[in-house]
Amino acid sequence: MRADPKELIRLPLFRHLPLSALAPLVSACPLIEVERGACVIHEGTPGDSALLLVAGRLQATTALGGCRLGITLPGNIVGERALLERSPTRTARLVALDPARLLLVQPSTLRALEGSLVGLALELAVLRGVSDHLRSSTKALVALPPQRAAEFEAPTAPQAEAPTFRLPSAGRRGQVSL
Amino acid sequence: MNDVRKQILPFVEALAHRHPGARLPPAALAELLMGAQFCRWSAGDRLIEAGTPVTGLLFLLWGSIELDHADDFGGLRPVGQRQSPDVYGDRDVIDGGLHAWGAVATAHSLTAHLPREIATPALLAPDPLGAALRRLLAASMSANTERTNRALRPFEQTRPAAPDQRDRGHLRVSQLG
Repeated sequence: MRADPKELIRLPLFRHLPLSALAPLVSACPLIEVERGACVIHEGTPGDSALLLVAGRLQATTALGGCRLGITLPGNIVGERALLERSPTRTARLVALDPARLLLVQPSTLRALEGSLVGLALELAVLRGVSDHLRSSTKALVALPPQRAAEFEAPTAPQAEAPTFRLPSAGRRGQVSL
Repeated sequence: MNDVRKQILPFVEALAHRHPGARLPPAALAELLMGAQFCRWSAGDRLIEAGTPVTGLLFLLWGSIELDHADDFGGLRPVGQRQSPDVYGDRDVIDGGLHAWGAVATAHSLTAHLPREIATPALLAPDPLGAALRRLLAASMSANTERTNRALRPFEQTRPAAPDQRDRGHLRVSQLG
């Protein structure tokens, strides 16, 4: 099944693109339709592709379904680690809250689209997706009781004294406003 | 190749090695970092105050930083760590926004701060360096998300299971007397 470019162009990430720019994406990525309540990503399983949510909503949870990480809305990518690493383990479970339509995006597709406008839009969607997921997870960590959160902090690995740099603009703290 | 670029290159190569999936072109990134501001930090120095505007991408060339969050009791709680070589930033480098977390150096560190005026156009560029930067930032955040989710997992397993997941069969009525 293939997506309708007219439906895709309404998604925020593609809104500024000409309709014709979506043709390579539509031909390369199959469309998947799932019922309400269907699990589209199983936690702990290896992943080899990402999913771009075209319609519907997805609920992310982790570990026994006890920790809700957030709701994914149309235009967002889930399972995007599969586009960045080789067969990463899925770190969350995703269940459709409504009947949903998703585009299956393979790493090879993203590579093939590199340099095109639709490829750029997808890459930015991946970046935003990862950013959102990191924020959600960190917020969940912050919500833990302080003593429990501290248990999970890995100790800092000791490092040798920093080497000497002779970079012209390298200054001490306070010289650069971050 | 000038002296500064020569000094940056080993760090950029180490960064490329750490995130091979980003397919980073070290020489091109070293060139881009010529527009960065370099800064040394000692352990305990605060690099970022939570709630201040995001002003660019931070490349951690040497050392380590700890991210923290002010809790309801006025204390600071660690929420993550970054070890060099790495890049620290998120979507706010493109979209604008405020730092959600503070950051403090936990060892002697060297950073390259690439201001938004340079970082944002580079991240949005439809060229090989732009694509590599997007992959690099995404790979770094993805690795940290995975680590954070792993940290959440043991905590969740100590919680009672939901009612439909409990084993109700281990006690028989006859055993209750």
